[in-house]
Amino acid sequence: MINRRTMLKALGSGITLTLIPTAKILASNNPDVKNLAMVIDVRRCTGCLSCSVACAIENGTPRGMTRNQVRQFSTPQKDSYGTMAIPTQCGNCKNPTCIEPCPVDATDKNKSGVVYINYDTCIACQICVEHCPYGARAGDANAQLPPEKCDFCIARSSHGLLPACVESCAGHSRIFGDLNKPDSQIVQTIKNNRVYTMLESKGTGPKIYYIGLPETTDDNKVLTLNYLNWQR
Amino acid sequence: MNRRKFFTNIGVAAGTVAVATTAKATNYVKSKEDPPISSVAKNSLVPEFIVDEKTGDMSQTPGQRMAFQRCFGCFDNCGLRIRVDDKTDKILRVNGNPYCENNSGDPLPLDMPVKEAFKSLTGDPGHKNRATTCGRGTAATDSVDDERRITQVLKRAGKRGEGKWQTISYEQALKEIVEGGDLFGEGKVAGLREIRRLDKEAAPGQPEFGSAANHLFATYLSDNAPRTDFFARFMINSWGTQNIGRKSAYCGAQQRLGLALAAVDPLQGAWHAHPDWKEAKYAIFLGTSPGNSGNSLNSLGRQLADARVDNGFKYVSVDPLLRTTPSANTGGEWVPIKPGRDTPFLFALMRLMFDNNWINTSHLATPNASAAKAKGELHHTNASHLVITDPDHPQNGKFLRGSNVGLTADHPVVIDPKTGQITDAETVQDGELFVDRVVTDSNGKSIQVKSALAILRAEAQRNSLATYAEATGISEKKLKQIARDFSHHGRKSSVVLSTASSSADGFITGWLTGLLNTLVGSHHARGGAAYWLGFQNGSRGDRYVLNAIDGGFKKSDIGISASREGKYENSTEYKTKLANNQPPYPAKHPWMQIAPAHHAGEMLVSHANNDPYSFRAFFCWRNNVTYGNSGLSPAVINSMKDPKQLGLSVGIDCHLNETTNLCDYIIPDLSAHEEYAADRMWGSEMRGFSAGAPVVTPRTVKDKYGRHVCMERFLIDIALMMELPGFGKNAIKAKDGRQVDLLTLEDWSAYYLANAAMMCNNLPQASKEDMIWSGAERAMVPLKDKLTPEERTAVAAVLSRGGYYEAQPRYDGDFLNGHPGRCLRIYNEAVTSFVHAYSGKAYPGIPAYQPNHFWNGDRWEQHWSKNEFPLLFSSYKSTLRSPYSVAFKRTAEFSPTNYVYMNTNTAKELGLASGNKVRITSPSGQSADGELQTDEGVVEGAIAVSTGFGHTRGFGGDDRTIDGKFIKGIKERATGTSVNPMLPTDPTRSGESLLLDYWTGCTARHGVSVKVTKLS
Repeated sequence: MINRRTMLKALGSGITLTLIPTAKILASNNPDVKNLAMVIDVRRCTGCLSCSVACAIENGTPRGMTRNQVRQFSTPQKDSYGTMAIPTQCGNCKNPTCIEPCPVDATDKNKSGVVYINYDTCIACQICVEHCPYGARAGDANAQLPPEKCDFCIARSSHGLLPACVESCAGHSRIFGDLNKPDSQIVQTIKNNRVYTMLESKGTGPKIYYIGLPETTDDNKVLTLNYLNWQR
Repeated sequence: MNRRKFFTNIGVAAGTVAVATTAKATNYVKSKEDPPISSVAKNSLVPEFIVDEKTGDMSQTPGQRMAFQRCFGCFDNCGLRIRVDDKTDKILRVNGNPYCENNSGDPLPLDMPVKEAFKSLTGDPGHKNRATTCGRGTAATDSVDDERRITQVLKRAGKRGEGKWQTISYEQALKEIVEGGDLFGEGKVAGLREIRRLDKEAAPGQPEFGSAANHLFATYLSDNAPRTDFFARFMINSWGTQNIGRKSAYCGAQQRLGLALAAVDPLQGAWHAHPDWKEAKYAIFLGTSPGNSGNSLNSLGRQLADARVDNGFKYVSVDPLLRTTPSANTGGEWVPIKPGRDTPFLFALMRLMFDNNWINTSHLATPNASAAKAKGELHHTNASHLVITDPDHPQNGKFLRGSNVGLTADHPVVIDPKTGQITDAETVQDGELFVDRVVTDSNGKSIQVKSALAILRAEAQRNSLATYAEATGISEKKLKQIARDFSHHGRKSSVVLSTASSSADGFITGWLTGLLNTLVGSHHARGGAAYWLGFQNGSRGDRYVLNAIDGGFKKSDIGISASREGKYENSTEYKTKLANNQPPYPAKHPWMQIAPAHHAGEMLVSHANNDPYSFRAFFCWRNNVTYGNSGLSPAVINSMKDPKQLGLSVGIDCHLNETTNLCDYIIPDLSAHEEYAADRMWGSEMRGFSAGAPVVTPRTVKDKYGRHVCMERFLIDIALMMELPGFGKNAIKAKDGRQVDLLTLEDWSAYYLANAAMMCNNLPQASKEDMIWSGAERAMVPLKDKLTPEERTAVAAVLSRGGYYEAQPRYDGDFLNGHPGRCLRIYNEAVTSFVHAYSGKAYPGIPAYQPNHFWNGDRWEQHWSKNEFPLLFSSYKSTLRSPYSVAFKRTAEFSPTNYVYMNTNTAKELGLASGNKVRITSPSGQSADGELQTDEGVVEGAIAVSTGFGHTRGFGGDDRTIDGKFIKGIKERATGTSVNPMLPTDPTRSGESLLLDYWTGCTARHGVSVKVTKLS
């Protein structure tokens, strides 16, 4: 688990984020299988932390091993300072880097595009934790507990329900759905907005698509912010 | 490979794995079948519903049930839908009620069947219909089964506050509390029966303080009306004590009372504005940022998001601390302001608006209701009404009336701009706005008069913009920009505040916000300053008489409170001084005549001073005055700990807190999800209330008849033992002539819900299916036999939707619907009838600028040296924290501690750095320790610290011994800094004191001087 004590300015001076073309996101349009994904509009996030708390309760995550964080920081504005609140979690990547290193094949991607951990086979070695460039797998420093990661609330989303973070999102910042469903809200939202992903250059293709992020957002810094430092 | 083999192969011990990150993305090819969901969602909850993707049918998961409730994550009374596991009777997770505006912002209609409503929360439509609980409410999932909850009856087994307890039977506690005796081996303790002496004066020789029944001091929760009203009915109407204290007066009542003066007379209520989010174009958030606190974080979050993303809403958060929602990529801006300087900021805006004529003159000049109607206005104003401003005139400060100038009707008068003549204000379309002249009365005498608006303008212009800029730390340029933006968005603009403007002039701050909204014409306007619609408390309904007791007391019968919430001029002290030819002013202590806000903290101060008397018994139900009220000195706390000064104290709560920890007995109480609820929602623009019934079996111990112990059980039993009026068989009158019993919690709750439900205009029909899906079927079991068939149907309908939410058109023309037109007061004549008990001067009819000062009128700076105490203090409520939230596990996880926030430059000047352990010390010598965190998001020369932390003496953060067994405090619950006990008192008052708002007597806490020193 990434845990830095200091608060960083996470907006850089130059352009650091790369726009993700809609066509690229929706390229593998296959109506026969699901391709689950999430959009987060950071302009709509009010930092209420309902998503983090709901996720922890729904998924019974051990204390401190959260699957879902809201990283907040102050950043210079024209006359003073403003804030950014950026929810982060596993992107259930198109090309995940965390699967191949697993020594027991306990983690993989399912047919709906969700990267899962099979808790019946996981040996809690934590190797996958180190292989995620996003720090999105919460590891156990004592290597006793299996890692925790977002699987889009697989039990809920497999039964037609929204993931806990989405249904509890007060600002309607989060939209969840199937990229292979052209009339779905997520596809329409992606088509009508400029969307970004974190660490685009890694080629992992995370399926958490951000709207409203300033292009100058330094995604490396955002991902290393201590989400517990902002208590306002 | 298994775990053991893996760790052996890589040659390290488990726990020391270190693998180089070689993250490398390659095109992924799926290799194997998906595992069962149960292997993946191993620790996750089983979902409450299953939607068949092919048919679209939804079914409920066997073994789980749903129930509606109202939330107690804070005091906003949002709705809840709760998932409960049938087998264990445990709450699995809470979420919002889709019928309730406070959860959704755009709720579902009440006539939609419950199953359909739940289904609309799933799949793609679920996005639009989201009904949320914020982080606080969601975390409250854990509250019922918290490991440190109190479920047994406790009696102290050591000294008060030592944390040593023994469990005793409920019946033993009841007997000891009522009958007294040598209960602790410390000598005789008077029981309740001995204390309630109606034939003795509480303060001998001062009859205004009522009977010795006032020696019982009770504090209580002020939200959740069914239970609050029950408690107040017992204390006031049955027992007969006026000393029933609550949090409003130490939370921020001064601002809400001040705001109300822009629209009503004193004692006619408190107001609380928010922007009309749907159409607002601009708003100023003073001492807060939108979505942080004040009203429901759910509807606020949704509405703010819509406004700033879809509607181009611009807003400024004028606050010492940069909080979460002035988002960098929206129309929000943070304007840092020095703590405690909100009043000069508002005066600066007002001055600029007058200087530049940026006011809505047409609205302001409308002098009466019929002119308002003719102009299409909702309200009229008294801006043009003439006020006598002649110090020698007997009616100085009152309106010039028709009778003064020989007109028939005795209405206020205006100058008719068409004729220049004095005219009855009720007869013209417009009044002259700025008048300063001499008029001749009917006797030919000259009287100096001014129009109300001219008086206000003169006060705003009395100080220069530079003075206001210096006071606030905001540049003149920025002040001009804000004043321009505020006034140039027409009526779709508002200024709103939260409780973080509680300085010694918080009353003036509130009043000014009300007046600024009047100056731009935004009260109840589309896009302007909006107000809740609320709902009548069920105790005021007509099915059962719940707010009065035959043979009991009315509030007016029982004297004034020990905190002197009454008129000084009626007191024995005043009369004695006059009789002895002594000047009556100053009074010995403050009198809170325009704000009888039930100030629990000031009641304790009176107790500690033994003036007018000390209490003999203390009941604390779901309140934590010693934690929440800033500046209660160690001497006040000691006066509660000393059995000689306070003979008997009883806490009634589901947790120990800092206050109940000082008690002799703890009576366990229901947690929020186990109780009946029905109360209006903070910030809701729909008329209605959220409601609920116990969703699980209460965890509290039972009495010998098998009934769960709770506040109601305890008070009913006391009443029965002492034969107090209003309880027992045939105690309550029903509308149909019956006398019904008040013997149980369920009796009261049934009557209360019936009263509330029968006041609803458009209740849905609850079908059998609705009753099952909503949990109402189960909830009605203990209630139904107590109600008439008609009432039963109504209560079932309310519980089947978790409350009542009236659908009405949002607007009526250019104004919000459902609000009556009224005379907005630029000049509040009624408040000038009150006299400040120190100065002996009448209250001004318009807000006056007077920098923060003590009770005797000295400025704070005269007593608090800037050299010694160079920093200004402010506190705030962080996103996840509220009074009970420290006991929710997930709150402690995501909000583990607070910080002493300071600007980086200020820290450098003081030789401090982020991460330092520091001590904050106030001029009263009290201190609090914490961790410094620095960044640019704090105004220079100040600190900001969140409340809700540092619970070392309650909620499980405390060490306790029960029945000889030591239970160590949970360290995660005790983290952080508790700032309220550190805050200063008023050195100009005699004896123990609180620092108060000069005008209302509510507690002041912002902008006080402190110093911060490095510990390590």
